[in-house]
Amino acid sequence: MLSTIYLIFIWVPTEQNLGVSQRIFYFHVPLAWIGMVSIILVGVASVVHLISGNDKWDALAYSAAELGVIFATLILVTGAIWAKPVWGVWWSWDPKLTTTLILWFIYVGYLMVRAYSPSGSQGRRYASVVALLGAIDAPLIYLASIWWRTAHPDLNIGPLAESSLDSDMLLTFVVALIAFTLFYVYLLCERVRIRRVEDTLDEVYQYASVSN
Amino acid sequence: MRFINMLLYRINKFFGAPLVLVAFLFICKGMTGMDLFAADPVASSSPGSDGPQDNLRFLFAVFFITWLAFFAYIFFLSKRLSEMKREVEELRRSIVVNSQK
Repeated sequence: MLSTIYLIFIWVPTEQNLGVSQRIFYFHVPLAWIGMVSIILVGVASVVHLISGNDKWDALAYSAAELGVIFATLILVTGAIWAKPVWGVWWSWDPKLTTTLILWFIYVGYLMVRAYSPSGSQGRRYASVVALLGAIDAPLIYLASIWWRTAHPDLNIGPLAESSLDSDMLLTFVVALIAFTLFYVYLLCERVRIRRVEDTLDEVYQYASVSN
Repeated sequence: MRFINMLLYRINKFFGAPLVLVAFLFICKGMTGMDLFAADPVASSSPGSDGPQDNLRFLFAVFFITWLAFFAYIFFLSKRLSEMKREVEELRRSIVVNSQK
């Protein structure tokens, strides 16, 4: 992570048109990548949990959703801060921004369904449907700038990239992407571990209330 | 890991709220250029140029907010962990009491 900070702030050359604000790209895009991967992970883990009934998958889905809210919030906030110097406004109802906002609502909806459902198993089933909607929304966000010509910059990463990055910028971006992804994996592992203990404690309380 | 969690918990317990407040004020100041403690905050803001090289404050704000969110989440996790430890301790105590009856 320290090497990423060094690359972003000191090593990578400043882009001529956008200036220093272009360096926000090295935060914003990895966060967006993780936000989209996370909702797909929530969807897949929810479906596997429904099929197998293994609680490990449910813990993974819940933890990924909780982290997803953090990352989706950061996508929106960092995007708004970048939009201000480039577009002159904090927010516009651009397709890419709007689908990302929908993703944020889906994450929040997932956690609310889990929190307020009358029973645990029912909440997991309903939340799985919400997670699947989110998994559909993730590719929409990626393809939004291809399907609809928007103010958002063209794709310059991935198989459908329409333009390419300078080699120094690409290296900085790849290092940032790997660092943020590893950080996400670390946080996810920790959260899953805590979630498993929470589940065990709930089972103990339920057992105690039944036996009393 | 345990030491880091303990350290984070202590920082959160004693300095959490003031740190968030100070961070919020710095972000406001950085992004708007306003001095929030001035008698007339709007009048005290400098006009400045909006050229491409004058956007460092936006980059700083992104960096700061991103790490603030990550640290806040780690604080939340460490707090949850200490709550669970307390619950486990209470359960252990109640089991000992029940077994002595």
